[in-house]
Amino acid sequence: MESLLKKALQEANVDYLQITVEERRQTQIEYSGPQLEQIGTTTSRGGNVRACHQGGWGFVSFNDLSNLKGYVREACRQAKMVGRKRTTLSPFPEVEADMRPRFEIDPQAISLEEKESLIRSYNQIILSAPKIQTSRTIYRDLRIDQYIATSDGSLIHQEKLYTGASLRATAKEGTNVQQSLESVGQSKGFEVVKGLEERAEEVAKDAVALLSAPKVTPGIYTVILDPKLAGVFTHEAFGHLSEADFLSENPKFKERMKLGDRFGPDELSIVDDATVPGENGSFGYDEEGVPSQKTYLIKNGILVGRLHSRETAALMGEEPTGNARAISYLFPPIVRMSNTFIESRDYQLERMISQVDDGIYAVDCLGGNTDLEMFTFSAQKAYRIVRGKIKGMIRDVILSGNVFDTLKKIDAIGNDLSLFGGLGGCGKGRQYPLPVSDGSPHLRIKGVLIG
Amino acid sequence: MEELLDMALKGAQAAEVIEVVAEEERAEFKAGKLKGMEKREGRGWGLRVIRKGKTGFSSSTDPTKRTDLVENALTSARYGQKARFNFPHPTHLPQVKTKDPNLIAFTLNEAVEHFGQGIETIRATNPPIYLEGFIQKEVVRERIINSQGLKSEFESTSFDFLISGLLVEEKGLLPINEGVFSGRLRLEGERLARSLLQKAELAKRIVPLRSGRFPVIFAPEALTNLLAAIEMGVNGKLVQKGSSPLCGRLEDEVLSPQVNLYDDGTYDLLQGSRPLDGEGTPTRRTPLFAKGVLKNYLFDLHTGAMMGKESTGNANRGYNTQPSPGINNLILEPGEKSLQELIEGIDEGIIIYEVLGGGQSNLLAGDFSLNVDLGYKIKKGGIVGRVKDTMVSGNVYQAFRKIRGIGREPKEVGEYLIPPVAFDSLSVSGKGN
Repeated sequence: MESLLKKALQEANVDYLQITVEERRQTQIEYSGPQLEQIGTTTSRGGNVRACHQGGWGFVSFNDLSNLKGYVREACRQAKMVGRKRTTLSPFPEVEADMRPRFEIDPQAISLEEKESLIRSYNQIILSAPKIQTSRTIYRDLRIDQYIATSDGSLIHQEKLYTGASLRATAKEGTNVQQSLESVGQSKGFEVVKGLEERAEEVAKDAVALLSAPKVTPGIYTVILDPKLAGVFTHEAFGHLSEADFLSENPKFKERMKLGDRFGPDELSIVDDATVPGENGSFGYDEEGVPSQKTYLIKNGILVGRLHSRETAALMGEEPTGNARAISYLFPPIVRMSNTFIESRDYQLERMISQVDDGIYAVDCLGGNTDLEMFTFSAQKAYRIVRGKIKGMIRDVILSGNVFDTLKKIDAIGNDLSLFGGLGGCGKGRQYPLPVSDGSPHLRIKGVLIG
Repeated sequence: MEELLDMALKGAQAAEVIEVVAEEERAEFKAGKLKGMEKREGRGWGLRVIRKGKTGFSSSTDPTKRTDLVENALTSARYGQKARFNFPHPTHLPQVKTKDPNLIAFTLNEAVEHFGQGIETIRATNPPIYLEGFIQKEVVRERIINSQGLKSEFESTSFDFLISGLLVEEKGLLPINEGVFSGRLRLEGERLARSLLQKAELAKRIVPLRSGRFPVIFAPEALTNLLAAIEMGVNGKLVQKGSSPLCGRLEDEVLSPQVNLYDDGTYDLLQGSRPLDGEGTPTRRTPLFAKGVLKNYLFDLHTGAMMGKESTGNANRGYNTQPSPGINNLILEPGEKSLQELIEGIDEGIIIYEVLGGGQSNLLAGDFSLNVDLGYKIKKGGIVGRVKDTMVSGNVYQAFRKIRGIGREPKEVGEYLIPPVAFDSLSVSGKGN
């Protein structure tokens, strides 16, 4: 493979060129209710050529490796057509690397039969709970064998491994249908999906409890977010704003995200860190061959950094952060998060709750989205807080608001940071799902619009 | 492909091979300029087998690994679902246009020129808008063969053209999108640009909105978020599992008598147009709601067989996924009023063009809660300004029971051909008073 790539690179007549080749092997098992919907292994092999010339980009992806030189020429032609100025890419020392995943149990050493029987047992736990109407239980392991070769001399071979499962319960009573979901996923092996029996029980229990939970009364509340929901908030509400590809080409918005400006209280620090071992968003090198690193985005309430590709770093006169990622060979790398989280402080959850007279404790997340300024995300379940005490469960708690306002309204940060991966991932442009983790300690935010 | 089928039939009673060859070209624009060009040449094969009465599946993109592909599919059949169907025989296919020769001949160089013209229109009038967008053309050739002698193939085209204007405001950015998502070449940059400018002009004034229940118009682009719930409701798989709220409601008047909604893969040149579905079953026009009465669910071979019904030609799939029921093209019959008339008929309400947060609520039950990204307040029959920090929520099935009117101008939005719809009364929550 190395010599094939090196030979093809010689066809390049542009400022920068990189070739990525991947082999992917995925096993997926999916139960929906009592029925096994999907089981088996699929493979794919493909690659892409990415070229930059005078600031213009070309990109070609393919499955047919025998025409590699032709694709190199095509990508060069495109880049030359687009390029009108100067190529600005942060210089990067050439890298030779060979990375292997770390795991306890290799999923490829486990038979399809054993995987199926484990997933079936979780599915059974959900289905055997009363009032549960259906379930959806998914297992997945994905192994990616990736080569990246660049015209400035880097050659990286890295193997990645992701294993995870998701458990969904649907409860129904009359026309009232409620769902609960739990998803685990990390850059690790089969150990990730073992021992999920209790979680399966809990998912079923939550879905049933939601049936009789009243809907939240829309309004403005003091809200305490659990680490999972607060993690989604961190990722969606703030993380996307730190992605420099958008900023580097929009001077006005860049002004709003000026380093050194205050974005939150003194206690608030937000980090993106792909070097945390074994998390879903962890990796050795990004899809431009830049090593992963830990980047502070907000430190003590002040904006101090952002996420870069080699191009955005050069355009903004900052250092590359190793955040150019692609979901597969089908797409060019773009600026993405890895593991994004708020650092722990000293507030105890009990104290946080006891100080709220009338509010909401929102737990876990069904989904989230952002449009730069505005965000919206929905809690899986929630509880009313009345005079410092957690009261009954409520449902349909959807939080939305303006990012800038909301960060400033954080008034307590807990001491219990956890990170969460999962089978899903982050979506940006057309690239979904990209494996990421996010997390936070418990957070308390004032004046949140709940719909 | 034929060789793969023969190899599979050595270990299986029945088999099916799908081949998808796709070529997609795309020009991306950022900050008003051409930013990059992309091309994707993809091909892959999916193999489905029936062995000892059970189905198995695998897929690959590597023609040198046929043996692995067959082996993976046969292994999967050990655990697979009971096959209650057989693959379809060759049969008569409906006449449907799926490719536009103009689009096939169209080059990205022309696309770049055209986008430039649209941008000039906007630049000339309104400098503080940042522009981005893309033009994309895709040509897909799908072939399917099976052990019943079926051999079919067709080629289809699709064209996506989006201009997005980012309006810089005091507190952030407001994206305003205008696009064309069609099966044919529609070079309407000039029209998109003008429409975008008009929306931007109306958005300059931000007006407060009190919380309450109001008439709400959903423009076609936003309406797809509500139709997603109905798509789940008529999905044969969710019906078969008993989780659809439309279970057991055939021939009931579920929606307003104004609603005539159907699925139609045989409609010419929409993005879901095709003569046969992903299993080789011919597509058709299937009424879903006629005058509000639920008429049909959508099935593929497997879910149809589970329910004792025929496939409706709605097996959606790629080469690397197993079939599952889904829409081909969803078509909502237009009503009688123009958009202007719908707006004029509202004393106090809103019109919504873009929403955020689709898919997060309990959509299966029909519940929705959407953040209004781009919406305007209507007062005494006219648009008075943009609303901010506003959410609209309710239940899709209840909303579609009480409709003020359906617009008469349908819009192509990919696999949808739908007019705007004015709902009688939805819950709107806002911050302003």
